[in-house]
Order: sequence, then structure tokens, then C-alpha cells
Amino acid sequence: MSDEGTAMLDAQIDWEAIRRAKNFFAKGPAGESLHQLGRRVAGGRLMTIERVGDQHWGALTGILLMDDALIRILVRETDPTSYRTRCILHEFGHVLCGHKRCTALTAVPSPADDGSLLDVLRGNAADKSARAYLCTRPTHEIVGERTAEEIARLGEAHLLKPQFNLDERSWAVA
Amino acid sequence: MTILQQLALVLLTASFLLRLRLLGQPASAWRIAFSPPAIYPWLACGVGALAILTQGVVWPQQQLDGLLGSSNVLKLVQDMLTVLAFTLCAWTALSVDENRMTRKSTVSQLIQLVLMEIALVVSFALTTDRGPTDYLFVEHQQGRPAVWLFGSIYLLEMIYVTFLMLRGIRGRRATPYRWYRIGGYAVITACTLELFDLSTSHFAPIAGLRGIGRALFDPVFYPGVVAIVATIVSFTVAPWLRERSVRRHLEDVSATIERHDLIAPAPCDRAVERLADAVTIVRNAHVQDPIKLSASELDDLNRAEAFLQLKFGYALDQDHERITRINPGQAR
Repeated sequence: MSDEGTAMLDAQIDWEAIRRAKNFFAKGPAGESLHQLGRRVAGGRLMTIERVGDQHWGALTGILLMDDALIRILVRETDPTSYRTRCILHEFGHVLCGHKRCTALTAVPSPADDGSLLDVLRGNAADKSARAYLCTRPTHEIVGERTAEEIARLGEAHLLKPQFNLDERSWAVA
Repeated sequence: MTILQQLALVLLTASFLLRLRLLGQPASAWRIAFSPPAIYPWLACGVGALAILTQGVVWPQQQLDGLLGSSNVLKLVQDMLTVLAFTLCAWTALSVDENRMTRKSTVSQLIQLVLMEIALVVSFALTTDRGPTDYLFVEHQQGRPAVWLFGSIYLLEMIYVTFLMLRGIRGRRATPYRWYRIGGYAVITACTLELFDLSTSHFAPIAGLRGIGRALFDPVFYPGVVAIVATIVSFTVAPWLRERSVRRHLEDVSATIERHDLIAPAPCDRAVERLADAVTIVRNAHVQDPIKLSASELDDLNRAEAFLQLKFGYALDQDHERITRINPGQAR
């Protein structure tokens, strides 16, 4: 990508939101798990993270449905665990940014079988107070998506600790 | 001296000297490395190596005991060093979980150590006319109450401290602890057998059993020591090996990124963050804007993802469940 192209993309990130997210992660306990982080992100609301089957996902990577009491994050069931985690962190990014705009529900494909992604969305579409994001990866240039992805990268760095970090730090002699 | 004693000495000395690699690092690194609790395992290695040296592994015991008056004072030094080395291991184990080693318990542990060492010195002082240097001084003179007392106090202290070591890692799951537990139980078994042998021989000799505890002590005790030291070595080298694997996976995935002209991962402080980013970039391109990955490229990607998951495990707590509920304020 050209330097000009990179500069243009850099301008399309909410750096203030990134700074707040960095502080947010820094306040977490040492060795914080994804589950514990989710509870902090939810800020008093119930959060569910649901693995939904493969049908109709297409290029989507995650979906966030949010109201004042509940945050629902949907990810594709068949994605590898580490990729699914990144998708979840991306949705956490949207929650932390407080994004309110409802996007692309009209772009949802036609209904499908029970338990599928679309049934879940149908169940929520009737609730106009729900804010929904259909999230794709940041090859396009929407500020919210790029910001959420940068927050996901920071979240991943925060979580990426060796599994037995405490033990290694205690026992290692060099 | 047995090959196990020599192996234990080599491992302990190497582990102790490894910390010298900090030379050339900032003073802050030294401050951390030589403050509690980081200093405990390092000191345990150094003290343990000294204790084995008193066994005559490098210099004959006669020579070493000669420096102390040739009246088996070396045996006292050996026992005090061994108790200290194991106690330092116990403190390390207790320090892994910060909740177990509070300031109050640190003072309590220090008092226990001082009392144990005083008990050894006092009981040894009661053993007069010990005779010339003898590797099996306690066993050969166990008929004397003072010698029996000295020997028994040492073995009881070793059993106690080793129990502390095992209790300190209660509930911890890292694989190297498997050897640590085996080593701990071996030490306890060896000391218990020796104590039984010492006591029965002193009070009520049992024909046919005399000397069995002594005969079994070295073959059981020293493998236990080697297993415990192997745990320390394992935790020491694990980060190096893991970092090498991170860089190897990063090379493989970065090659895929280059071949398909994708955006390079952002600069990161740690190689593992760069790897996680690289994996996401390739997986995104595979999902969103389908690039055709060759079988080996897909294999590299899958292996990198599996490695991240195994070594850095940051999935949801109930990742196998279809729906994970995160309740507000849930105690975990």
C-alpha cells in the first residue's frame, strides 16, 4: 500500500477512542482472561457470546446486538478459536466506543433455518431500540470499523500472556 | 559419588550461573532479579550446589572436613545447607500465588527456618567425640542418643519442608510440576525410610531390616533432587523455546503475507503480538476477500493459530459451549 494510502487510512481512526481503550485495558488485573475482560466491557449489563452455524455468514466475521440491558455477540461457529477471539474483541471495541449507529440490517440475506444467524437477527430486528452491527474486517474505510479493529488488536496484546506466566516468572532463574 | 549427585550438581550450578546473563541489562532488571521472591529459586540452586559439594563430589570430604577441624562438622554444614535450599524452594512455591505468601507469612517462614537451623546446631553440639571424618557418621554412630537425635531432627525437618514445597504448588497445573511432585514425594519417601531405619536401629533393631533405609536413601533422594531441579530448568528455558517457536511461525505466516501482497502486521513490542496480527491478516483475507492459499500456506496458518491457542490460551472460559453468558459482577 502507498504511504499516501496508509496516511489516509490512519486519519480514519478515532484516536481518542483508542487512547481510552488503552487506559481501559491497562486497568485490568494481571493475567486477565477474555471472560473477565468481557465482564468489564459489559459494564453492568449481561453479555452473551454465541457461536452460530456457518450458513449465511458469507464475509461477515461478527455481529453485535446491544440494548441497555443486554449485549449479544455472535461469532461463526466454525472459525478457529484464536480468530473467533479476535472477532469477539472487535465487538468489544464497538461496545467500548459506544457506537450507536445501526447499520446494514436491511442488507441481511433471506431467512434461514431455525437456530441460524438470521433467526437470531430476526428475533432482534423487531426491537427498534437494539443497535446492531454487522461487522466485516477493515479492508474498507469506515472509521468505526477501523477503530474497533485497532481496539481488538490492543485487546489481543493485553490478553496474550503465556498460559503459565506466573509460574515461569516465579521459578525461572534467568 | 553417584552419577545422580554429579548430575544434580551440574544442573544446580548451571542454573545458578545462568543468572549472570543479566550482566549488561539495566539496573532495574538486577533489582527485580535479586529481590524476593525472584531471588529464592536462584539462591536455592546456589545453596543446593554447595550442599552437594560437601558430599565430596569435587573435593574429597576429608579435605573439606579438614578445614573445619576433621570432626564431621561438615555433616552439620551439609544438613543446614540442604534444609536452607529446600526451604527456599518452598518459599518460591508459596510465592507463585501471592495470596499465599503475605508479609506476615514471610516473617513466620523466616522464623521457622531460623528455628530449624538452631535445632540442627544445638543437637549437633550435643554429639561429642564424633571421631574422624566419616561420610556415614550418623549411621555408624546411631546407637548414641545424641547422634540419633541429630540425625532424626534433620530428617524430620526435610520431610516438613518438602511438604511445604508440595503444598505451595497445590492446584497449579503447569506440566513441569509433574516432575516437581515426583521429586518431592521421592525426597519424603527417602527421608521417611531413613528415619525409620535410624529409629528402629537405635531403639528396637529388626533383624533383616537394618540398613535398608540407608541403602535406599541415595537411589531415592537424589533422583528426587534432580526432578525438582529439572522443574526449575524447565520453567527457565520455556520462555526461550516458546519465543523461538513464535518467530518460526511468524516467518512462515509473514511469507504468506508477502506472497499475496497483503498489508504487513503493525510494528509491535512483542513478536507474539505481531504473530497474532499476521494470523488475523491472513485469515481475514481468506474469509473476506478469498485469496487462494496453497495447502502448505493453510497448514502454516492453522499451525500458527493452534500454537497461539495452546501456548497463550486466551479463549473464553467455556469455549466449548455454544452460548457463553457473562453475568455482571459474577465471582470467578
